[in-house]
Amino acid sequence: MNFLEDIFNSNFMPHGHCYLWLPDILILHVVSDVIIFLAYFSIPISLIQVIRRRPDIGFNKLFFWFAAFIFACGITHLMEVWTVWYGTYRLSGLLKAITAGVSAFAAYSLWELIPLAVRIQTPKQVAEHEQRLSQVNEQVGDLIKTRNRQSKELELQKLLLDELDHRVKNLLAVVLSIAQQTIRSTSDLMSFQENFTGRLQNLARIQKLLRGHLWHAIPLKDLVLSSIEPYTDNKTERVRVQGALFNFGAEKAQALHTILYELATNAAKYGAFSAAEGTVDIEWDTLGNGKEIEIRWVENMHCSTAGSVNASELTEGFGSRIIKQMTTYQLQGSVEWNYEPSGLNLCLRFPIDKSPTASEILAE
Amino acid sequence: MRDNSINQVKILVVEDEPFIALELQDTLHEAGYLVVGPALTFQQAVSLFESLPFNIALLDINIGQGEMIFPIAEQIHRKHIPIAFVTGYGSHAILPKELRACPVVEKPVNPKELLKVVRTLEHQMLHRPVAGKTT
Repeated sequence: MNFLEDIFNSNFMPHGHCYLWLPDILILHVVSDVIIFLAYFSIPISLIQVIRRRPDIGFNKLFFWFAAFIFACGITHLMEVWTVWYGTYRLSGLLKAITAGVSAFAAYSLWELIPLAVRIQTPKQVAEHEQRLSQVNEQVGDLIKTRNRQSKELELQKLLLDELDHRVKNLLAVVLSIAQQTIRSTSDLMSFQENFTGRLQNLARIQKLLRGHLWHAIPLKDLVLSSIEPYTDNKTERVRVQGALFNFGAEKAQALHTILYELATNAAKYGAFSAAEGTVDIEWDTLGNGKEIEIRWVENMHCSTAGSVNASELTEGFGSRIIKQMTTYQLQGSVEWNYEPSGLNLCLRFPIDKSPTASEILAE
Repeated sequence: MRDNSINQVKILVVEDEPFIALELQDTLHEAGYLVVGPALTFQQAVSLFESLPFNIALLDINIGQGEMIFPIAEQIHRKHIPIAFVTGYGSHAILPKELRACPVVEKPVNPKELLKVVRTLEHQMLHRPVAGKTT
């Protein structure tokens, strides 16, 4: 009845009597119990270590009950050693009862965790998931890349359209200016039509030539022949184009083409192409180690009326203004001309850059 | 045509396309203005700006080879000289903040519209000092 009062009472027979105090059996039990106690004492410590280092794992309740359970088990084994010499069976029974309670809680909390425990993945499963995840990542990366490329393409397309828009408007502005300038320099509709059409066709030939060479350098001879084409249909023997093979950069092609066209137009009206036997020599030489070019346009009327034609045309008209402006600003060079008794003698000189042709670029 | 007097309004024209430059020059000349230039390159525009006085500037935005006129336009603007831009970029021409108030004439240019804009600038100019050296 006074269980608690007698709890430390050791009036029972010590457990050693059961072992008949035989040293071998005593040692066997005592040493084993001590080792079990030490082991059970260390396990909760290691569990606590795990939880402290990995608080993310969770399951704190489970860890607590297991640590308590194992520690309690250890105490009961320690008690086994004690009762070999002291028969405090009330105390050992009480400790066993506490252990029973703790073990019941531990068992319950483990039961509770069964559904979760079966879902815990093995390292192999985790590795599989990781692999799948990296595949998905790769696919997402590809999608993002495709998406970025598409938006870049769209941006480029917009840029090209804006540039095209700008160029079309610019071209329309050029056409309008040519029309207005041609109106200023002609006195009747017939000659307006002739001059205006010729100038627009000149623009179209430049476009065709540049497109044909993919907006890269053009062999100078091709450029010269294209610029004077309208006036050489039946006069091929009357034009001599001479000069070393030279690839002319696209940036200055339009200006040179226009200048030569205006010269040819002038020659058809007032110069060599207007005379029955007239000839035009177009020659070029590079100067200063290829940094400069000189292009000469030499007309020869081959007739007694030479020099009596309206030689002032080139100094007054739109053609001459365009030639001067284009030489000065677009070619960044100089132009000189004079009228020999045999006809117009004009010399263009301007700096040039070495420009590869489209086929040279492709061959690289 | 006005008098070729000292009071003649001087207009700097920058336009890289020679045909258009010639036409702008003639249009302005016929309306009685004195054209400074035309400058067909950025470099040319800079040297005209530094050496000759003018009251109004007509500037092409894209001055060839992708070069923009804005650096010099900003300098002109700082001297309180009225500016109008002439461009094929139209509505998507993006002007720098301080130049946003400048009128933009779209290419192809209607000479009448151009002259109307110039007259507006001329009106603005009357309240501003003449830039650069005086003649």
